[in-house]
Amino acid sequence: MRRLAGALGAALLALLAGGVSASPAAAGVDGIAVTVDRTRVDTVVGGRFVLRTRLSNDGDRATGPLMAHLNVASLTSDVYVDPEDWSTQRSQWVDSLAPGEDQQLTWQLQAVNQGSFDAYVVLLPTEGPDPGTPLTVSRSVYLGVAGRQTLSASGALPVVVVVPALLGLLVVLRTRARRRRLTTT
Amino acid sequence: MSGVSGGPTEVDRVSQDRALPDERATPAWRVVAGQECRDLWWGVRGPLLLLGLAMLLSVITYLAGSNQALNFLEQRETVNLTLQVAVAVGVLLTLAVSADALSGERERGTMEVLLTTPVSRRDLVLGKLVAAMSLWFAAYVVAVPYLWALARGVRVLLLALLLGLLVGTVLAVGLAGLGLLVSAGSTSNKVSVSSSLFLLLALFAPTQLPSGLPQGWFGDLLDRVNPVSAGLHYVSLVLVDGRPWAADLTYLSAPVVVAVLSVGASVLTAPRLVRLVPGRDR
Amino acid sequence: MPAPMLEVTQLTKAYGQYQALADLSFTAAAGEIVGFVGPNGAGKTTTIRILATVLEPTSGEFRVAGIPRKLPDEIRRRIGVLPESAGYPAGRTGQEYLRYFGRLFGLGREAADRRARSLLAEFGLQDRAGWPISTYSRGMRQRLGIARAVVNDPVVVLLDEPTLGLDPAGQRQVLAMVRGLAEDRGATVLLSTHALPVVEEICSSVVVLDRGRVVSAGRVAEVSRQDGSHRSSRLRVPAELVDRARAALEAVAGPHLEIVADRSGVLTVEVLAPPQDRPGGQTDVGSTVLRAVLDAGIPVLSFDVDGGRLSDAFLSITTRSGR
Repeated sequence: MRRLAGALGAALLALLAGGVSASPAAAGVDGIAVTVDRTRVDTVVGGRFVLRTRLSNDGDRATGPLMAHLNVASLTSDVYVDPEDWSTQRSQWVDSLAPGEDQQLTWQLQAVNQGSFDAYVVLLPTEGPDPGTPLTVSRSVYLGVAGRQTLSASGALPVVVVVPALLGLLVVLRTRARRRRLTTT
Repeated sequence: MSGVSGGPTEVDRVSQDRALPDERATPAWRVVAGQECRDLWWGVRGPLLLLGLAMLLSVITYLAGSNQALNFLEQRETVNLTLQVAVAVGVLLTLAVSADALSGERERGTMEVLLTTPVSRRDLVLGKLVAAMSLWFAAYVVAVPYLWALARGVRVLLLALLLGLLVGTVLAVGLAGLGLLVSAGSTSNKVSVSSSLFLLLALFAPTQLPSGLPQGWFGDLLDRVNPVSAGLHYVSLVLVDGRPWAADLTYLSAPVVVAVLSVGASVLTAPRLVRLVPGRDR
Repeated sequence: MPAPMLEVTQLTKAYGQYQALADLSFTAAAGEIVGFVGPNGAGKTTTIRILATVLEPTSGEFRVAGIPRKLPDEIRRRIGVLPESAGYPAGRTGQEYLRYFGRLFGLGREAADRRARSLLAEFGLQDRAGWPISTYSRGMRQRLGIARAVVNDPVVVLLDEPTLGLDPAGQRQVLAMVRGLAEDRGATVLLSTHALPVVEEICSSVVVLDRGRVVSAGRVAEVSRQDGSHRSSRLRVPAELVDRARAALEAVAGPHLEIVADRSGVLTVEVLAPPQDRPGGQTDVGSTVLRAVLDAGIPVLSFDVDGGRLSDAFLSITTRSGR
């Protein structure tokens, strides 16, 4: 299931990329463009970063209400991605954009898996489906997430073992002292 | 002191000869606190509670170190998680002990003789609050080596220790006062302790919602009004997000207000709280 | 005449409509042991708690060692209390327990330690000083409780059922200690108890409570003689003098007494009428009978009274009060 989701995501990207021009902005019908402030993020597991997208209405009429949706897809088949773990706010709503108006959206993410990923934002109309209209999607942002081990189990082992051992010893000694007093006649 | 007819009488002389000195070698609240602490720590109860906390912190520390289940947490967040667990369990233990303070005396039948001593009701309450707080400070001391182990290499240890001490102490004071107030009004120890634990659960529950607190003004209000979630949120803001100490001090309003009100109410209304039977007029 | 150590005037305690105490008044002098008796629910424990400043009365006044009730802290410094249902912290030792209360009464650490050791020795607990109270028998706990009640060398000691649950030997021990409080320490003791033989044995005066009211009070002998509870006296004289003894008794006896003698020297004097029907309202039949025989120069080998005990008077008094 995970592989299928990954494969579909990659296919969708390829499909959309085929219709995209070489400029950083990806434009679809209605003249709405979605741009991202960067093309690549290198971080480590647990690292937090921000993506900023700008929606621009390059057309000549106002849009209806829109929803911008963030997705993260793994570029390798052995890593399962739950986008909800990466960002708690995956959807943002825009009421409408007047001709020539633009709006910035900020996305807070945290890299929770190690590997190679792509993040992108897709724009979805909220007022009724329009079967002929392709979706507007930003270009993808490559996420390279390196592994990280700041703490080794062996490094923490002394504390993990010694502290409860000392307290346990204290409990045993106190219990024995009480029992000795209670049982000696 | 004069008798019925005025002027010192045989009664006065005898009673004054025998009355113990008014000047105390030690203030009464310290005597009460000292004995309560001795009962707690020289017995098994206190060390046993700390052992439970240490085992919990050991599990968290080991999982963080072995990168299982907590692998996505950045080191600051690991330290933050451990600190929050230590604070949460520490104030829970404080609450449990203070919830036993008055209802426990009643249930064990030891309240009446205490009421016949010249120790003021306020001193009794104060002494018991101090003894309950010893649980928090002991829990904090137990947490220190774990925080040291987790904070190596990221230079947040001192910050974590100071934050934990500040926020944890304020929370512990507030919950100790609340536990004592509950204990004063409870007819039995079971009622008192379970009511106090329910109170703590109610305070913690909103922070454990799957998606966090609701967005918007209501969620923000809930977060700030609840002293436990507000205090822990402040810790996260400073420790994890790196915000300055003074930037979000408003999050500490609720913990401070609860601490002042609960302890203030306990001490000021002590003569009404410390009774043989709760709620029964003297 | 020295002022009383304990002075209670019109003490009343009401819980809503229920009157636990009504107009209770009595006094007790220094060194006196006052018995406080009554059926269950009579108000004995309520009285003890009011005098101990644990409860406030609805109205009335009391003074302990001259100190009025509006100064409860001062009263507490001067009293010792053993409540009926006193509990003890199981994990503490006897030494720790007494030391703690010594410190609560204002003694320094060392002074409290010394006081605790001395009291443990006085009350026969020195061998168990370092033992947890959970290991103490009931009798030992009562002794510990009395020791705690005198840790501040009080002038008035309030004891609520100190012999409850004790075996006869334990009761004797405790009663001896209570007697010691009055005789050796000069304390005034208010002893609340159901055990009327205890009151007869060690109390000089008694207050009988029933449904919150005093129904009788006074010296134990006076209260015991009330209501003509004396039923019969039996005395034994040398067999050869039985006729002379009978004649001596008949000389003082009236129609309210019946005298039966047998040849072995035993004479039984039955009381046939209550005091109000006897000549002069005579109550002390026993001493009348004994005096008559002794005045006749007849040696009395043994003398026994059936009835005329406090328990008999108690039942009669409380029955008459409507219980």
